[in-house]
Amino acid sequence: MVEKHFELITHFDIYVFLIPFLPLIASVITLIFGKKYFRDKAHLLPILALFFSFLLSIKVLIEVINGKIYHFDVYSWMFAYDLKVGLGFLVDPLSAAMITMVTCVSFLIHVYSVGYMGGDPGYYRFFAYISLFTFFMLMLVLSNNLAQLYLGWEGVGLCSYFLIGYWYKKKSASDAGKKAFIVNRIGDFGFALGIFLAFYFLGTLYYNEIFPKLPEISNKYMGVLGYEVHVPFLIAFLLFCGAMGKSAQFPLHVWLPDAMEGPTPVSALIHAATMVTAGVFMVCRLNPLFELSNAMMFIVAMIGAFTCFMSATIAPTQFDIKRVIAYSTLSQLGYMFMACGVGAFIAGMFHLLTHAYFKALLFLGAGSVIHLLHHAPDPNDIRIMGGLKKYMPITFWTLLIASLSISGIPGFAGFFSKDEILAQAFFSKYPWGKFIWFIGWVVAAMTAFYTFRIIFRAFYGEFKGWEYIHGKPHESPRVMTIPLIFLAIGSIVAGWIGIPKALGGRNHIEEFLAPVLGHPRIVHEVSHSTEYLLIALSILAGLFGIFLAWLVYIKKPELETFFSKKVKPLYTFLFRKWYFDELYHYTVVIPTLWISRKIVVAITDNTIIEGIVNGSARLVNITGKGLRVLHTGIINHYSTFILIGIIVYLLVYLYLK
Amino acid sequence: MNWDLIIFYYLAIAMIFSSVFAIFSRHPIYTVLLVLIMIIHQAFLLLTLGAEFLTVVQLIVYAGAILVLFLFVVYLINLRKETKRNVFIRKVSLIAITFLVFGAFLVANLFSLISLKPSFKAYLPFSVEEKSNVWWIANYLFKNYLLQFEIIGVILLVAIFGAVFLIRKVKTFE
Amino acid sequence: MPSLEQYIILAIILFLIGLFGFLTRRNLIVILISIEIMLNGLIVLFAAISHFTKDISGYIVVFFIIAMAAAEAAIGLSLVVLIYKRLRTVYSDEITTFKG
Repeated sequence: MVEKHFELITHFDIYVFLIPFLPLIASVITLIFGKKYFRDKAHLLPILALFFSFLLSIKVLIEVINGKIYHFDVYSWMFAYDLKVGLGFLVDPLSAAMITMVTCVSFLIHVYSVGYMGGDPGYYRFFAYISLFTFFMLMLVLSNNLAQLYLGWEGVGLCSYFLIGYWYKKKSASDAGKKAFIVNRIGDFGFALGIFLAFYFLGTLYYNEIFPKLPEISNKYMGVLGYEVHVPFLIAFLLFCGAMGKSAQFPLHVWLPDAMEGPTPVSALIHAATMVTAGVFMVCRLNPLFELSNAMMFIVAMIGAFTCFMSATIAPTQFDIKRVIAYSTLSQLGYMFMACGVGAFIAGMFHLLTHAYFKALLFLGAGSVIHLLHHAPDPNDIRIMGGLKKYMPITFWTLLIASLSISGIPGFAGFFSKDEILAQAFFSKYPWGKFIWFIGWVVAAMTAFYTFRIIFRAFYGEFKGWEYIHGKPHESPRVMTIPLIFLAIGSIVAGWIGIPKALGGRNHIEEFLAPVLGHPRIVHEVSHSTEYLLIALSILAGLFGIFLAWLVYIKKPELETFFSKKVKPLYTFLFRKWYFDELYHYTVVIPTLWISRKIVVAITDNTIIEGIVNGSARLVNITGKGLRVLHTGIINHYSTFILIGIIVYLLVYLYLK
Repeated sequence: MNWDLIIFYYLAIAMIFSSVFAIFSRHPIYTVLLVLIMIIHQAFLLLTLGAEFLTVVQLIVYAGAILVLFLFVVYLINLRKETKRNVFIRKVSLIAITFLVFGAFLVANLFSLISLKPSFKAYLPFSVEEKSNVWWIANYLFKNYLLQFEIIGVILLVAIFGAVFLIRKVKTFE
Repeated sequence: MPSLEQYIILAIILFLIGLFGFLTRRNLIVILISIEIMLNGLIVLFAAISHFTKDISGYIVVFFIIAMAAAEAAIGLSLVVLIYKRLRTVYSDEITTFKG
């Protein structure tokens, strides 16, 4: 934390409290009463709640800009010997920025869903779930201790499961939901262990108490399986396991592409703007902990880099428009983690905020096209799209803005945030910075390529989906295009808060977030000439990607199959997503199923539990049969039993009392 | 000659033998009549103990009413035939063992009663010299044991009602 | 005058004889009569004790026992009559409706 005078507010503030709880109330009411009373008006309450949450977030943001920090507990949650945890709120620059983005994007997606999900039988369920999701995300962001972070963490995972498997009757959708939840769970297991260790070594789970105590454990080592492990590294690594699961980094990235089975607004909200960014948020929030261990920073950077590169190689081969955007998300998340891994936390958060806008816009725009083609067997396939530029102008222009943004074209938001990451990586004090810069630079070109591949395939050329629509292709209704416009504005404007000094700006975002995330960890004062060179290089990379896409898809369409034919094994490897799904299937899924069927079911279920249940029934049976012998029906015998009873009673009474 | 002792032994032996024969007899009529003999001897035993009122009561009620009742029922049921089969139920051995255990138990315990302390103070004393047995019984019965007397009256009333109730028409198996 | 022990022995013997008959005989009527024998044993016991302690309570109890025996014999016999009417037998090993 950097020195700047803040006014700390510790009393209960109703506005801050309402920011997550308005969506919660809306969600619960919609869920309980939605089926019978709301039906197709079920969107009213959540949209209203989200709108007010957004306004409140703006209000709170302004207060934080003016120098206030909120830190108060609302409810004593856990009391156990040494552990004291409550539900509380921490509003500082980091969380204020996040909640503004979350509520804004969530609100726009709520509005969009009115058009996209209209007529769906489970309409009320959808809105209830995305409001609930927003609640959990806000709780995660606003939390002031690790336990509440975990609450929000799990909650968003749960809502993600609900929403991915929204069309639960479709097997692929429910399978995808399960996959997401299970893979998340694996990461969450590490996360929980990390929290336990943190509590064990630091004695508390509140952020404001953890950070001053960190220097105490900076040199501690712990014995694990015979090896001496650096404690901060271990804690950070376990927490990062959760981030890997939640933010879909390698090796737990496999759920995100499958999650595209959910409706497009879900993909936009959860898998672009909010849930997957929770991992980045967590790393940034706990940046003092991560910085204690160089090894951990290295791991974060490398995993981010690998995921970034890997998904950028898979994306150009996919034909499902949502899957391409999903891999694009993976790639951009990799950027954010790369930034964190070189100490550029502010840059990472900046990219998170801008990415939310252009990625959500990409998804919603794709959803617009999918909505048009929704009668097709696979409406996501780009091979049936084409030439939509003249039929869907608003969708086209907004998607173009998003694509320019993601490709890092100057003036758009993505340029500023991505450049910030690349510059800070290059100048970082960490030795792997330059390698990270290189990866980021190469992937920038690939990003531009596959993004514009989609644009050119969908909006230029000839429309191929005539048999799936009635009449001519038409623009989506206003309720869907207006959010697109707003998001497009965001994709441009959101970058202007971080114009670097080299280009004449004041870099507001760095000033704003520095008290929480620290100043950039750069080696020496940056020379402006090098920075200009880097900027020029990244612009060139973006333009090269666009040029290549234009070449292949517009100028010389015969080049399209060049790669897939010439280097078939490599193409297949990329097309099959580096065979990760198959790898996991054979190494994890099949052994687990085998163990569960052969061992767990056979032994515990059939033998032990059924043995106990059936055994007790049989015991009663046998006892009954045994005792029935005494019921002879002859009263002389009965009298004898009475006599025996009297004897026993007298014996006890006289001798044993 | 110690007539008290001789009379006592005669009465005791008669009671014991008649009851043993009653238990072991084949014909229920024999059983009832042997019990009658036992009752009469017991009545005279009560007489030797100085309770003349109770003697007469026993003879009238027990011998005169209860056993007559038994006889009526025996005739009603037409137990004419001598029961050819076993008198006792099968597997009497187990029952006998229980019985002996109980007997031993009883013997062992009741002998504690013999050690009646000399300082035993009677709750409701009587002396035969002053008044007769009837007087004493009536005196204490209607003063100290009035409630129990009434209860016994109620019991007898209930028994009458019960008997009347039980003889209502029951479906015979014909 | 015989001592108290002798009276008590007589009472116990009578009681045990009645008990044996009660537990063993097949004929329901004889079972009821065995009960009467048992009660007579009790009568001897109480009368003897009362005589030797000069306390009237024993004689009162005798009185009550006689009355109670009458009531009980009446009810028991009506039940036996009912059983005979229903099941045509008064032998306990033939009455097996409650078997099992």
